[in-house]
Amino acid sequence: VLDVDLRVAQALDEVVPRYHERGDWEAVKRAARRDAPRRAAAALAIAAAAVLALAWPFAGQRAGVLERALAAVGDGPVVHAIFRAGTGQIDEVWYEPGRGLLRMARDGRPREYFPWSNDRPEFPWANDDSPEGFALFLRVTGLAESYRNALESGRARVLGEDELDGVRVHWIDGGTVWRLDGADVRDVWGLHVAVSRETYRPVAVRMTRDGEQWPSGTARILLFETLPEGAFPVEGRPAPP
Amino acid sequence: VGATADDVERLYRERFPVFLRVAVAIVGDEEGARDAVHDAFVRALRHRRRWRGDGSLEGWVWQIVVNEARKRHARDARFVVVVPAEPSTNGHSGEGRVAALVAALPERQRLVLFLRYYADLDYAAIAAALEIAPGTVAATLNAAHGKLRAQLKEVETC
Repeated sequence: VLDVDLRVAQALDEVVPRYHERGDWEAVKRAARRDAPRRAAAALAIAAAAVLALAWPFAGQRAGVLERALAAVGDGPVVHAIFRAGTGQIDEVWYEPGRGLLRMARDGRPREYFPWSNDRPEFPWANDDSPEGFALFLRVTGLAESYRNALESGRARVLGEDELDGVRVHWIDGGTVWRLDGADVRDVWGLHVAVSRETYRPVAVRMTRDGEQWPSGTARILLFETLPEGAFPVEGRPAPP
Repeated sequence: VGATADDVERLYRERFPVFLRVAVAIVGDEEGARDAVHDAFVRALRHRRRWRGDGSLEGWVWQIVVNEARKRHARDARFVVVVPAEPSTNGHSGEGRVAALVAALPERQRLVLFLRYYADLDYAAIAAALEIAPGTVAATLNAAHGKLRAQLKEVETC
């Protein structure tokens, strides 16, 4: 006997409506017919372009914007970055998935450390009193993970060209960084990254909230480097400065 | 063994709205859910000969659909935070409130509920879809019922 609870059934009916559409079987058949070897060849070509860009990052038109941006971002798990926010505040941060986020003081000593816990850093999430802190978290985790994932998976796209403080850049959509799902709220924070048209390294970042630019999220990137495992500067929680 | 293209097509045509409904529940938006169902059936059609016939074809396809939907839900954002439900202040349990109660359940409990209620699958098919034992399905469903009933009651009596 299957256990079915009417109250639960009614509640679930409220959550997702019933659908009556029939789908598109022809589209499924067309997609399934695509030749597997051709798809493998396309994947190889993308990998080859990335290798080419890694080997010759300034090789003219040999690689596309996204492949060169991927090559420029590097593949080390540790991220070290310095941002200058729109307010003029400068922040130096270290971030490593699985370890945590370290914010440095102006004198170069550790200021705050948010160790990894429960699949993310213990960060003061969406604290209304600290939009700058939240923006900093979004920037560094977005660059370290969402942007790199978007480039690697082919989901990133070039939004257009621009000029920032005399530097010609491409803006790239770096995907979704953080999402809040709840009864009365559904916030989606995304990331746009400006890369230099000369070096393809990230030079600025802006955050979007539900598709709109979020004023607190824009910052220049004064330094962005990815480093190998073991480069994170602390083993445990540092002593308070 | 293995399924034919006609078998997969028949399943798609007969059950698409149900696949879509479960995918919406997992992914959280209709567009992503449509893509997930589409991609899952493309995979099922391509790999139909891998179906070993030791369970129902539908259970095997559900496994692919659930995996595609879960991947799609996870891939866009590295950090997804589900806001827990707060007690109702007006005595009503609105759609959003119930959605939050469901969202706050552990993932396996949610998936079992969706497959049981939205897809009307039996324990064996749910077990095949989630690659767990039928006994685990019963226990998980029981736990989800208990938790939801208690929370719904709490919301309704506020």
